[in-house]
Amino acid sequence: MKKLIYILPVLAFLTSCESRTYEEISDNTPITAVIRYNADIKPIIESNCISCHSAASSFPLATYAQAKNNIEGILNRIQRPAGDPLKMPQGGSLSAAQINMFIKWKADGLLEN
Amino acid sequence: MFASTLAFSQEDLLKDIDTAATRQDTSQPAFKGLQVVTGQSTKLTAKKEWYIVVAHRFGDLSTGFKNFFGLDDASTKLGAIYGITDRISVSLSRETNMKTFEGAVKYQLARQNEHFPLDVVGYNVWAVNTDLDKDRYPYLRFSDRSSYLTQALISRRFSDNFSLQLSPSYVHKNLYDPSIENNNQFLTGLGGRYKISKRVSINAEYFVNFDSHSFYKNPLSLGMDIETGGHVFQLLLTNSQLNSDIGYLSNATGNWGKGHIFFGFNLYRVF
Repeated sequence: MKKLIYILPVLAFLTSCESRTYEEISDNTPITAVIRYNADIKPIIESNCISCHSAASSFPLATYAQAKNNIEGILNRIQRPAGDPLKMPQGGSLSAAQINMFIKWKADGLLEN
Repeated sequence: MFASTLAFSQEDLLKDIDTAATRQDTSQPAFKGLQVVTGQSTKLTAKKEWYIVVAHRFGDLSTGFKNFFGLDDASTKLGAIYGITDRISVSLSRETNMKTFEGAVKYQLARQNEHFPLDVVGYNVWAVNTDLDKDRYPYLRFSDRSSYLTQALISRRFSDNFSLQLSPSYVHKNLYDPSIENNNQFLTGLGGRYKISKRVSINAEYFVNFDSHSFYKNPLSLGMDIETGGHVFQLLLTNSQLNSDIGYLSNATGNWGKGHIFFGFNLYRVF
């Protein structure tokens, strides 16, 4: 057991102390293609949001209209910093690429097809 | 091994109650719990003693009855602490939020007695966030998961009922968001305990973060220590939901003024 006190600091020093930002470890390749609900946005919502935001929930995001009408709220919540209790999805985060898809979807005019 | 510790603890339960909080050669420790509220206190475990920690932090109280005042969103911390000597203990714990593992060393540098007015304890934490993954962050390296905390805990027991603690702290994060925080942060905490009966004390602590942190708040917590046989049970209200040492200090998002606070408890079981 006594060895643990020596092992812990050694392990700590083995890992680097260099700081990086979330941006540096994310894939921020700009999206050039036009983003559409059915092809791009719907799969992200289905795998990340629908478990809580189903059609039967109090805040459904199950259809094109529901996603489109709530785009400001979605963009706000998915871009909050790590640790914010209001950040969505609860307890995690979308990838930068997925968040960029939502941003580009809005910029492209919230197309369905 | 757990089974043997369990059996041992049953025989020695009464002895533990009498010895856990007292030391023969010096005055009583400034705090009964190992934590003031969520921040660490100058109290250490006794030699060769195992502590099991179970702590919960619930969701935002202001969400009201729909969320059962936050009880629906529980974040759990489980951990073990072992006293290598009376002056050095090591701990390992894991918390739900950010799936954080923490290894820590706590060591006593000075003890309050007739000749010296203060308890001085050092506390070092290495935390690893295992919630990050390569799907979300393709360029993630293992070192990005780490963050570090160094604390000097300085306390004084002014009387049997009243103790105060100053906690200068340094946090280093290997992964940070420069738009809302620094990778190196200096904080100082002030905490205290006031005993209102033989087994109950009221505790409070506040940490000031000297670095830019407009997004995150300074953590302010109120707690109540309740001593039962073999347990110290700490009930608390805080504006910082995270229960890892580093998250608690540097990622508080609640706001006491708006009622965005979190209920929680720490429970220690001595084996």
